[in-house]
Amino acid sequence: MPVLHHRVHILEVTDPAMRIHLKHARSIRRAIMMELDAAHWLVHDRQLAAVERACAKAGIMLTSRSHGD
Amino acid sequence: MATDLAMQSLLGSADRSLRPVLIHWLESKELDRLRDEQLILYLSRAYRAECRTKVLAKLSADARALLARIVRDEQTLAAGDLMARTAADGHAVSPSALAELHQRGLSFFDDSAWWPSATAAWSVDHLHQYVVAPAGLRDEQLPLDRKPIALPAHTGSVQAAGDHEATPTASLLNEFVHAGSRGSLRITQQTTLTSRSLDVFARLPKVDNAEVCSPDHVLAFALAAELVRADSTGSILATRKLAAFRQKPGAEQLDLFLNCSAQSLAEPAKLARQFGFGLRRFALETMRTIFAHDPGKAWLSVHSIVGAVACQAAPLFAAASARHPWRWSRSTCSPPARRVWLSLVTSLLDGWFIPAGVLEHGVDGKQARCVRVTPFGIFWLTGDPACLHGGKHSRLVVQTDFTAILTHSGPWDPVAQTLRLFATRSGDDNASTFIFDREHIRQALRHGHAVDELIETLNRHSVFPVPANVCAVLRDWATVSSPAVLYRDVNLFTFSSEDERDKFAADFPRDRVVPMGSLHLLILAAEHQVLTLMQRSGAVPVDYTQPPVAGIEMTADGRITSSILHDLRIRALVDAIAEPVPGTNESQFKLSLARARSHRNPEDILDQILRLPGKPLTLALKLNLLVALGMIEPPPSRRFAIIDHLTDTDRRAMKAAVSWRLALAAQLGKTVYVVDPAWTEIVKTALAAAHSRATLREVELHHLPA
Repeated sequence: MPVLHHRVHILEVTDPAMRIHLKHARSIRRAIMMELDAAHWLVHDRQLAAVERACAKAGIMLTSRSHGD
Repeated sequence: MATDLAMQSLLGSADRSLRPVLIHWLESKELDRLRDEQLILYLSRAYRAECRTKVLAKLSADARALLARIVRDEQTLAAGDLMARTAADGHAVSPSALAELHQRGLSFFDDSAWWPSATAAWSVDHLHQYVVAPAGLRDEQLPLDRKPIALPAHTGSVQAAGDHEATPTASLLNEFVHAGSRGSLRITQQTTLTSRSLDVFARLPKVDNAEVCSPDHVLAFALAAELVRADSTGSILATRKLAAFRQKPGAEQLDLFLNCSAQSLAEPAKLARQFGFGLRRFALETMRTIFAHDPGKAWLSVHSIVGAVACQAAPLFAAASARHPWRWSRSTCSPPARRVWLSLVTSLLDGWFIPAGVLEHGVDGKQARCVRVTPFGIFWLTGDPACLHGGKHSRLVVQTDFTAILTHSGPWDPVAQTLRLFATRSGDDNASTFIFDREHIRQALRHGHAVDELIETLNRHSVFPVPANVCAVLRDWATVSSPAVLYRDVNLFTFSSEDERDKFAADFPRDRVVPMGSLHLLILAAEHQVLTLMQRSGAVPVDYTQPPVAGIEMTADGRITSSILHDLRIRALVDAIAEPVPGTNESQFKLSLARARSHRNPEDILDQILRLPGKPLTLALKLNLLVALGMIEPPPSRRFAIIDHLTDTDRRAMKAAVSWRLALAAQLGKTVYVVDPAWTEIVKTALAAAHSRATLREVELHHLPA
């Protein structure tokens, strides 16, 4: 039976080098709840601000999308 | 400015002879025609430049200045405001000037009952009326010039008070632009900054009663200038215009802000009603005219400024002495008292000009207050950038550790302005240190700047050659990496097989679905569509805005189960410490030391497990978890001493008696502690000596799977 995970947060990082770079940050490691695949990480809702900060610090252009976009 | 039809209707309805008016525009034989024909001819002549020139040539200078204001102002203003603004520009505008415009057919009150006549008296009600002019005058290019208001310079020595270099408004504007770029500002429904946003400005020096130094005032400017915009949640977002604004030197930024602030000055409504125009705005503009005349090193007495402002306003209330059919021969209104002007001028000096950095103040030998225009004030009044300090003596040194030191920059130095966009600034204008980092470089790029702009500035102004590594790394930081996407508050479907997932995804446009892994599918659709899909497919919903509805169960032999394994939060925790039992189709798990000890943050995992709802884990199971996660090492006896019900008093006593940190292996709750096996006897003795009621008992560790 399928499961609907309602209102989850997922970070998509397609660049493998950038993924390695990001994972060096403790805040990112703490934020990742589960890896759905190599490029998609399920993120804790409390750690979203930390994720945005870590991406900004790493110089990654982070764009946000929501369900209706 | 009124349309020809409106003007024809207005003039046609006047129940008095218009011959003295139309005589300036029509030939004598045309004055014998019907009134409607005369009006049509008059309105058509207003479009002809030679006719306008002929009429305007005979106009007095003050009436011409008033007409220029009427024709040039885009928004329709009442007569009082029009006359006050003209008077503030240095012209001696009186009701006679307005009457002259009526008589020459250049503008009229929009109600003929208020027109000038020999029997009518000039009153405050006249100042509240609106003035209209023929549409043909729109083509006339009348200049809005300022006439200097000269004041004698203060003689004698004046002691300057305060530091005019410290401009709280410039600091506030600078901080606002930074905070707006960072996106750390929010507004309430009343379009004022939230209290948390105001904390951003908390470290700035406070200036009491300074209207120009209010963060909400800066917010109003930024919204009006479209530098920022507010989204539906009240967050302040930077627009493209903010990047261009940030690029300007600080003096130009402040100049734009002050011009906007002067336009939107708060007016006391009672005074405006009583005297027919905005007194505060009039006082500010008149003072601007006064200071613009020969701004320099001369001090001006505040009392002489008050006198000049009152003198400039007086003609607005005075009627002509001679009787004339198109003049007001008497006036029923009187100008504001001197103490009103004194109060307004003082409040403007303390709340606007001085905090804005336009003026500095001081006192003379008799303790009388004087003001003087600052270098920035000269720039604001005259637009001459040469008067600004900075640039001539500054020295820039770029170091290999990605810092740049700039000395003697001054508040408006263009090099400091450019470097500030790309770096963190510390220090003051005497010596500033700029620290470059990837985050600031990327932020500047997002705001539309280019790294070449920075490198060119460094190369041009650096005293020594810029280190090669700095240029290379700055360019590296500026290279665009592939973007990351954060899907927020989205809906994710999980299926039991890949085929089922792909079949489900086939019904959607490709840009609305994102497959993840082999079983997950992200659907980018509106909430109601997703709920419909959920009902149609019979999917089990899990709401991640709520805590999990159940926890995990552990048995003594290390088996782990949960009734909500489809909840990814629970599944993530289980995966962190256990691995599936073969042959159970991932419905049963077994504690795995290898998996649990591979985790880098065991404290987080333990904390999350202990917070889960459901049946609490026993002490032995908690010990199992501690050992499995590698947080404590099991003794050969596999027995641990546990202190329970330890009060604060007991703990203080224990800390005094034994080395508490070494004696404890872990903490399992607010009053539950695991004692290091080597310290068990010592702790036991200390507890007895302290007469503690805490219990010390031994718990045997379950046998853990390998």
